[in-house]
Amino acid sequence: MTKARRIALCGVLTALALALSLAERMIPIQLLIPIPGVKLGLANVVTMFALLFLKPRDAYAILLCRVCLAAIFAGSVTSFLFSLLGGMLALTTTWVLLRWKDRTFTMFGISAAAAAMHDIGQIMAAILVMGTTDVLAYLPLLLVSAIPMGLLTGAMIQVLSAHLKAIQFM
Amino acid sequence: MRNKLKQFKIGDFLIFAVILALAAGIWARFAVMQTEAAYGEIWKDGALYERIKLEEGYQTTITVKGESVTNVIEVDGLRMRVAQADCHDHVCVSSGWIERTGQIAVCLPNKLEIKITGGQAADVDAVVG
Repeated sequence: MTKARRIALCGVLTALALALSLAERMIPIQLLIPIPGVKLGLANVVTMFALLFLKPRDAYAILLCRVCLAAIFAGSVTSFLFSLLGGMLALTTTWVLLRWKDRTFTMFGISAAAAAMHDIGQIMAAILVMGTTDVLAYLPLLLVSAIPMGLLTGAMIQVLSAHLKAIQFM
Repeated sequence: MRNKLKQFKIGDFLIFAVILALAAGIWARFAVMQTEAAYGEIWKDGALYERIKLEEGYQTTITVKGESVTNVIEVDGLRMRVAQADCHDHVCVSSGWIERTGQIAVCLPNKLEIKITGGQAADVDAVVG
């Protein structure tokens, strides 16, 4: 793919990830899963897409831009730290685990791991912000919720990449 | 069901197991340290804001005003909760009632934490902000 096309694609993906992360806040997932802090993590689908079809540094760039923009549009400095730590851990974990994709893992497991690392990153940020490890009390339920949420986003990327391969998108 | 499970691989189950083990481990750590609920504490910006002795039938409401967010905390007998908040995610409110030691509710935008502690109070008897 040409450089211009890659850059354009990264721009589109950043916008998409931003829209997803902002829009999913409007979905009352808490009604379905009553765990404080639970999220769908739809923007992670974009991250996984970038790692599958583009280069790792593109994925990192998209993440960084998206986190900055989300904080500017609808957040604060603290929420920036949260998204950044969570997103970075999730992305790095996904990148590492993708090496063994199709041999040991499927996108479902990788996605669940990414969701779990995202939660861990957010709790780590909470510990830094609050100055206490008490917030770890939130982590067990969050981790348990990471599995179904990860399976959901994993299913999304699975369907997406199967379709893209079929139409030979890249 | 077997067919559905076939699309996963061994590594996936390993990941699920690690996640659940980690969750269980952290939960156990909190469950083990439990003592009798004695005090409800409100912490703001990393410092103790107020400590209330928990007693059956004793009710009170405390409002904590931050730079941008206000939390209303309700103490009802041996439990407490964040009743109202004007932050954007309401994680604090959705944490519900807390009544066992180690349980907390946190409002990150307001750097506020409410927790139940038990037994011996450390050094301060009462701090009112």
